[in-house]
Amino acid sequence: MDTDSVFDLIPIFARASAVTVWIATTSIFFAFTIGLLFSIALFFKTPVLKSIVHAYVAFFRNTPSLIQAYFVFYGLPKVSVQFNSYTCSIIVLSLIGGAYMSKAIYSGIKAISTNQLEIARAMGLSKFNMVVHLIVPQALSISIAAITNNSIFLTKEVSAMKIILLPEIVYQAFAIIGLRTDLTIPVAVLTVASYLLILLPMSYLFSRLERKIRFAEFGG
Amino acid sequence: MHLTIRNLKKSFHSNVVLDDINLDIKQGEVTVIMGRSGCGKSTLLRCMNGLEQIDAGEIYLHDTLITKRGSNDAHWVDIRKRIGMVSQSYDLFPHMNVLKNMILGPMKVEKRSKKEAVQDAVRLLERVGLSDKITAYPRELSGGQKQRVAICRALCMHPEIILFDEVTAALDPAMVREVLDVIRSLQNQGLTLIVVTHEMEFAEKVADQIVFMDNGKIVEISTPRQFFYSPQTVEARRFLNLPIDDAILK
Ligand SMILES: Nc1ncnc2c1ncn2[C@@H]1O[C@H](COP(=O)(O)OP(=O)(O)OP(=O)(O)O)[C@@H](O)[C@H]1O
Ligand SMILES: [Mg+2]
Repeated sequence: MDTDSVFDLIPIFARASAVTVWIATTSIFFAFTIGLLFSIALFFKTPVLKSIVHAYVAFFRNTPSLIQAYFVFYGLPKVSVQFNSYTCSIIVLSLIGGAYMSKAIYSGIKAISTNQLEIARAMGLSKFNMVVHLIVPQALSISIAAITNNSIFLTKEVSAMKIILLPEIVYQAFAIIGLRTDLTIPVAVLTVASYLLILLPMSYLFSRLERKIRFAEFGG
Repeated sequence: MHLTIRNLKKSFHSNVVLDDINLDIKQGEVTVIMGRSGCGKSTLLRCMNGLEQIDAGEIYLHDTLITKRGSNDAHWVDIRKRIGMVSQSYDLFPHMNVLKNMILGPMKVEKRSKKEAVQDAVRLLERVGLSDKITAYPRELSGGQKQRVAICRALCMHPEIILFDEVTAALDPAMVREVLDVIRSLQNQGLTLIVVTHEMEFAEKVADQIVFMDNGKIVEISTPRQFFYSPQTVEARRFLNLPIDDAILK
């Protein structure tokens, strides 16, 4: 590595941060979608689907993401299914996040009073309308804090994808230190700085969203 | 006859909750159902709009059998449009303001236009003295106000029958009055009201017939005057804390 000064490291970290942000936001989006659909399936106790969702959640919450990524990236090509490290990262993180989001949103749904849903039934409201107008808005506003935590967790979990050569922040940091041990301290500082630059604004945006949802949904 | 119940039976597992219920409810009348806690009053109401599946017997709305075997929620939607329900716990949707609570059913179930639904809601709120609460959220309302909104929400659907299940049970006395006044005001509008309540004074003044239940059975159906002043059964006399004379015991 022909890096002469600490300043030459900055563009490397900027690019790596961009990779982390891109993989994280995409995975959060898919994880949220999976979580929403699966928690609704759990709520309606759809027989077969329910067992599948439980097994899925149990599997992804109780195995290390490192191993999951390793398997998808190096294992699946053995049966001729091959993804590049970007696609592979998004798949693995979306599935892990989906498991966590399912749990979070489902506990939000369970917190909705059953009396309320019963009176909706007595009004003749269809299941679809109950989901759209009553269940989803309330479940999200109840579980928004957990959704925030999961999103921050997923963003940090992008670093586990270094094992499948995703050029994200920690991967780059290790690569540089491997070649230039004298840069250990500036690299460590830049790594921490990169995460703070990503996660602090993200936390801020989520807390804004949280306040907004709570305000809109429950009248301040 | 508006609502007719014939030989209705309902059990939860081995617990027989409704045992051979027969009841005729006339259009435009107020039927008050009374009885001890656990005697099956709520379950009876819940059978009328299909929230509980009955085990045997029939319920007719006018002459239409509404309790066909194996009928699903879709079948009940049409009936639920015609039979409103208000419960003890108000059950307003906490994430919606008063107006949205009221127009959800008309718009989504009856497919009426928003404009029409809003006009209706505004008119109803005015009638119960809550015009200034139209944009308030449920948690900003008192219990009595919540219950009046819940009644308006049921009225928005233009039901023919409204089931009231102990709607004043959770309210303190001052608020009981304001809610009962609203129910009384519905009496003269051709609405058929079926009211489960422990409010004796209200029952006496407003009811056309009193249905007294005990242990899953209807033991007495009578006029308020007869029920409160000369009840025919031991169970009713006990319930009303009246002396039980030997003549009846025989
Ligand atoms: N979903 C249910 N599963 C099992 N048992 C039930 C269920 N709902 C009601 N019961 C039982 O049925 C009986 C009648 O209950 P119900 O709620 O109809 O009584 P109630 O007359 O409305 O009483 P209260 O005045 O306390 O409201 C009770 O013994 C109750 O435990
Ligand atoms: Mg009851």
